[in-house]
Amino acid sequence: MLEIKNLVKKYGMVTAVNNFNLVVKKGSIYGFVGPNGAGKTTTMKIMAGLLPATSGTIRIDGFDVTEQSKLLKQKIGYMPDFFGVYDDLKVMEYMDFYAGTYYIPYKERPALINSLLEIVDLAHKKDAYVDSLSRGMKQRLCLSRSLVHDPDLLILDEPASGLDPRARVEMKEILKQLQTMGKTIIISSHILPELAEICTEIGIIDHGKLAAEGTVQEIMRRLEKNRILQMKPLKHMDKLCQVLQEQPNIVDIMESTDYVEFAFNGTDEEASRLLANIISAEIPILSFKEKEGNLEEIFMRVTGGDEK
Amino acid sequence: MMMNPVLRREMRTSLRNWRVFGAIMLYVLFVAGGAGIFLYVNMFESYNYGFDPRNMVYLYAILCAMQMGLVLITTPALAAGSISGERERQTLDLLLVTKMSQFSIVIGKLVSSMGLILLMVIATLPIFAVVFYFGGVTLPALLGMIGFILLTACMAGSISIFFSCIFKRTVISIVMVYLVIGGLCFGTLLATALYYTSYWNLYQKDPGLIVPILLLVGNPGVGFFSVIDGQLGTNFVETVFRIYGTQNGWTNWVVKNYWVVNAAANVAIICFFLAMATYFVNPIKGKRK
Repeated sequence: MLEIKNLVKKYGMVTAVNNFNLVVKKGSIYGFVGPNGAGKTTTMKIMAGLLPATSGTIRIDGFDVTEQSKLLKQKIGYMPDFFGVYDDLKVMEYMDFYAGTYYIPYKERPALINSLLEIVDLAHKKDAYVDSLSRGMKQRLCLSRSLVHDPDLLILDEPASGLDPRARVEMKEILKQLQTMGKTIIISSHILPELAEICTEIGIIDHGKLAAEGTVQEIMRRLEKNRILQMKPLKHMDKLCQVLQEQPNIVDIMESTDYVEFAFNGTDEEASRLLANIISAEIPILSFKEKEGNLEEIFMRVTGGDEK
Repeated sequence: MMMNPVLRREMRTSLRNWRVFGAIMLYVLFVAGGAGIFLYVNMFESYNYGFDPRNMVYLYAILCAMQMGLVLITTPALAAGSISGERERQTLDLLLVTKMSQFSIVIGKLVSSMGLILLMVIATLPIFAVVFYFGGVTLPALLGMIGFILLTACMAGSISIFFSCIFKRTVISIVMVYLVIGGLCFGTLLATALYYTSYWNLYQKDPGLIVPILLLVGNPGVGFFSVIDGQLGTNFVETVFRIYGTQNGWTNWVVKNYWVVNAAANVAIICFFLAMATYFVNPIKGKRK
């Protein structure tokens, strides 16, 4: 669906996007993660035809974004990170205006707009002035606007920014629904756990380069040399820590009030042997599990832990 | 046929705004005030010298001049924020990703501004009815004058939209448009006068008509007086040009029909600035950066 090759964008001496390569499959939800200033918005703007690239190519369904931008306007739905609305328009009129910009015939517009407002749960607000809508509603309205011409690819730049938790959940549900409708979605966010839940793949961008890419699990497997194991004893916490220190493949033991976490560099068999050793040392164990990593940890590790 | 979406939205929203009604009201009051003062002065003088209905054609000239001046002042205020306003409101990107061409966006903005100007001009037509009561001016003449004023407004509008595309802030684009319009109205007159003085100082003879004709080609005031000359039988423009040299051959025709040259120049200016605005509003501009 989308193929980016050796994309470079420079602003004078500053390189915002540096030899960026990416492939997004049709029907997937691709999450763009990166610290502020990493080049997410710049890349998305180039994809949407709003910025010229310094070099490199972006192809959507085989069409070049720069050379065939007119053809691609029908295929792309774009929602920027910051956007304004025409406050003196009603919701229905707002949608009608954007339907007009895609030359959708007048007769088809009411049914189309109603169905789009249904998707974003704004049908009850169709006669309200855009000005009177909440931030979350405006975000949803902008999303429905980007769907007005039935695009195949949706480029959504931080669609959940500034939303309260409930509005974020609603936005996630809408995105899942859009995926079932066959849309390919590229979404950026710095709210990382959210992307983990909805994205089929993520790409971590840092200093304009793709630092890591794949499913959350793939990236974690690749990045994590040591697995984090968690053990909860019924009693004898001190003894447990002492035994663990004597075992091979264990580093960074962190003792908490009722459990112990440690980095373990070994196979599953070695982990099971470790558990057997501890039980044979007469330490009663209530639970023993591998701690699941999350996007936040991956993000901090890949980007060096600093939000630029 | 589908109406330009930008034009449709602008027309819909502008008339929801009290500022537009306020502007139209002020515009009409200003023109009516001018007409009222003229009538009062004429009637007051009539006690001593008698009322001459033939003077009422000058009321027509004054009303038209006021229209022209007001249009040149109002158009930049309406049009110079058309694109920069979208940028300030953060709606420009949303517009540029749609299937509308940059030219359609620019034309939509220009025509919507012209629509408001037309509304203002139409709103003042009842005041012109006073002139028709006394006669001396025909309806086609009035329509011709309105056409010329609207063409001039279109010229000011295209310059306004161009600057609106160039500058991110509306205030700066408004200032720039007023500077350019001021330059066209007064700067060209000053340049012509300076040319005459320098030429006379150097050669002690009249400089001829070609340079003044070219310098004043975009001057809305000279074009306006040329139309008035044609309609009322006055010869303001001929008198001005006579200073620079003798009219003969094609210069004679040009001076007598200077409004045609001025209108053609306006069309050229409109085309040029619309093309430039279309180019500058395009985020890609056909090349890599």
